[in-house]
Amino acid sequence: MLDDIQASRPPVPGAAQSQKTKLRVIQRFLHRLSLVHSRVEILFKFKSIDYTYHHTFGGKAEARVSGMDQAIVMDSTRYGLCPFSRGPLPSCSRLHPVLGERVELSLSSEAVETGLCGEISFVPMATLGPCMAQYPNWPTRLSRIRVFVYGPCKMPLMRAAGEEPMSFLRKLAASLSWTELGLSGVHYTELQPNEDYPYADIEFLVETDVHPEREPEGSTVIRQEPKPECNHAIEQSITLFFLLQHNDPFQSQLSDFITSEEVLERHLDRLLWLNREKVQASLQSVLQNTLMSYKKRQMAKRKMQSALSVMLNSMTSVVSSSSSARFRTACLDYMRVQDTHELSASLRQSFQRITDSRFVPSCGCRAGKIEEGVNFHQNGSGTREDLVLKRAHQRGQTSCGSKKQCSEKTNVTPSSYCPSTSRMTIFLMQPSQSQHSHLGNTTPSSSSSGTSEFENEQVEKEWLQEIENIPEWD
Amino acid sequence: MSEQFDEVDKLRDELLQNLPPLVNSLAHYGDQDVLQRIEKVMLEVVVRLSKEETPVLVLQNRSSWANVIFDRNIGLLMKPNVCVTTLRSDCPSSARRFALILKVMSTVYKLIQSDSYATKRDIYYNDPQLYGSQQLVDSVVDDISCMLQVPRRSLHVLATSKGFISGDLCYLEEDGTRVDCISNSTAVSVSSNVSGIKNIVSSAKFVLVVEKDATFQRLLDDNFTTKLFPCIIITGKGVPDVNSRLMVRKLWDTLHIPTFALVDADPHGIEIMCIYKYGSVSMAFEAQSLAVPSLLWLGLLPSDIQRLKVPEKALISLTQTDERKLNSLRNRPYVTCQPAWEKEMEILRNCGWKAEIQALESVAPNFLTTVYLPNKLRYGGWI
Repeated sequence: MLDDIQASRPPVPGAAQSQKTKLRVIQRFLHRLSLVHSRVEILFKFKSIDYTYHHTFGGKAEARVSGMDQAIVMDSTRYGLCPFSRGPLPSCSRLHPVLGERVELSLSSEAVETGLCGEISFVPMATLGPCMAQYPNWPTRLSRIRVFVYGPCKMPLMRAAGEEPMSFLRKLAASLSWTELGLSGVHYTELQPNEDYPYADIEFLVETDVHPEREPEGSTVIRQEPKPECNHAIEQSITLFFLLQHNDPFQSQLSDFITSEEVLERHLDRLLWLNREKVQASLQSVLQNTLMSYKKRQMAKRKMQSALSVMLNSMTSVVSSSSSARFRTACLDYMRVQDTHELSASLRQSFQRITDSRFVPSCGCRAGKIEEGVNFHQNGSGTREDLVLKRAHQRGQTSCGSKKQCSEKTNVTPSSYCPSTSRMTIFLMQPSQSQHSHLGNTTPSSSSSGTSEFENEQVEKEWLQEIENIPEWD
Repeated sequence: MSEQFDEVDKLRDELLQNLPPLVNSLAHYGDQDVLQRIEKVMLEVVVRLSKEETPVLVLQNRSSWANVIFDRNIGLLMKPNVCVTTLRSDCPSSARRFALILKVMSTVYKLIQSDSYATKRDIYYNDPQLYGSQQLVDSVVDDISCMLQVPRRSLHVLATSKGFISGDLCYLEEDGTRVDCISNSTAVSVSSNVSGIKNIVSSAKFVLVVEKDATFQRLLDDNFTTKLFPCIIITGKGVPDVNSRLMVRKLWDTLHIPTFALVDADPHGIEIMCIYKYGSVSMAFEAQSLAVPSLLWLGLLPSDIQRLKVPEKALISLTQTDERKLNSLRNRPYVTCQPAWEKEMEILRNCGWKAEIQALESVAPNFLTTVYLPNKLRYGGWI
């Protein structure tokens, strides 16, 4: 099915701003729509006096999530975001949604009186992105939590300009046990425009721990200079979906559905408050599951820092106390330093850089194409990104599907300049499969660890087993 | 009284005639040599860091039977080209082990430089929170010993001995202390520095390796070493520590007298005896100085249970674990070259009973020291 909506209007003085505002509203709506209806390809073209905008939403099914009345198909490649700001580094651009438990919502008497009947439920779903499973040691920081609310027809609930977010959502900052989730706390923030990411219903800033790498007692952790660490730490965010469902067996007409959706939207905040305990518990649970990998990663990071500190101290101790001039000179020469003090700093930096840039090709996460990786030798060697590229190539990383950028903006060109008309074209293409309610049970799981990770875990297990088996304990 | 040891003497002559060619064990390496080996490992890490490659340590796998070969004259030996475990420094699951190896190596480096010694327990208590457990330190020390191909002693790391020794034996410790095992009414602890023992003096006819401390104490209480004088008895208190095994081997190398084992008639006892005789997989890299392949099984033989009509109430049923252990033992390479041992194991499996050495008490009081062991030695009841 193909719909073509054309809007041609004569130029009105002062209307440019209004057009831009409308464009943004439509963009946001389509962005959010395509996030959960990715099989629907939406060709959106906007042409005004000043510029032309052309964008294709959806059309690619990556992550299928079932377990609800209707399975949703997410175009995860579009909104997973590339974790790295520079360089064609291989990365997993997919979202890995975690589905929460369905919560039956009790209806308030006011809602029933206004005609809202049947069963209303809510299913939370969350993802942590960008996926960093292939970079197990790369510093990460959870910075934001974005919340999106979708109605029973999986249409985004849009707020009017200037309208405050639902009070229930705003109070989540105080009502959820963030410390149990391993976070110091979160607080509500004004929405930040992000061209790559759909406009959320509400956004929270995550308080980052000032000293995330707590030193284990009895060991000295490598003192990381804060600036470089912050500079290359990848900011991750949680995207939390509120997916509402409504089932009324007495409704059959489209108009009934639309009316119910409108009523639900009006009463949603009150409904959520009425069922706050169940809703909050469900949200807590889904966030707990989503943050599991993040917490493991933080623990592993602390473990690594502790180990690196011991390695570094041990090596510098041997080199410093060695009476072999040959050995000491060899160490200094290899690290290209003048004295043992410099050697210590150099070893620390090398250890940290090499550790951070560990690349694990994961079978669960598809890496994006490395397009220009061959240039890593020439492009300022020594950075973590260069090391990643080097390792990816060393491990025979091959293209597993090209990564698409989130938006394609067409720059203004003289030929496209059209002062007399503004033309907006929306193509809606709906494949026959798009309305299938059962799309299989292939709920995407969080990214599995790579083969190398598995092998190292095996090594650890074997070692522990070995220790148990060795009888010669004196 | 001289008839008492006729069979033992004959056995000794036989053993001397068939002495295997001397195989070099891990010699005591010079301090400078060990320092250089540690420096080499450290330099390899530096080289890899300078190339922006992940530092790795390659360890020989000390827990796999696939990595050992059996030599009748030596015991279990590590293969020349064994499977190795590569430890990465950048992987959370292996980084700790990597770090602990470097840490212990730097400790060893300082010990050697200062010509001082430390026990594994000292190393552990130096930073217990870092190491987490004594077992971890023990394993890391053995890993380093295996990786550098030097005995633990050369690392200046000692271990507190748990074994005891008694009998007709005098020797000098490395520091000059004279140890007289015969004049002591109680047993003497096995030295922590066996390789430093010198001037061993003994006229013992045999060495009796006793599995359990309880049996060892019983033999002392019954004046076994006096009744069957001259002899030496030693125990590693169950699964033997390295020092006890080194001591048994040292006595064999020095005195060349028959070594007998007195263990329970159960799979666990047989396994302990095999450790004395052939060594263990985890320490196969040092088998030459730890195993005594000439060791013989004196008792308690499963066939003795039937022959002596040990009352059933003194016997214990074989458990499923025992049966699994027994099957595992029968599949080991060194058992196939011991038909008499195989036969005893078959008896053990078929009768479904096992017996501890104390079971002989049910035959008669002091039966072990007054009847069983003297007769076994007099008539050559070993296999």
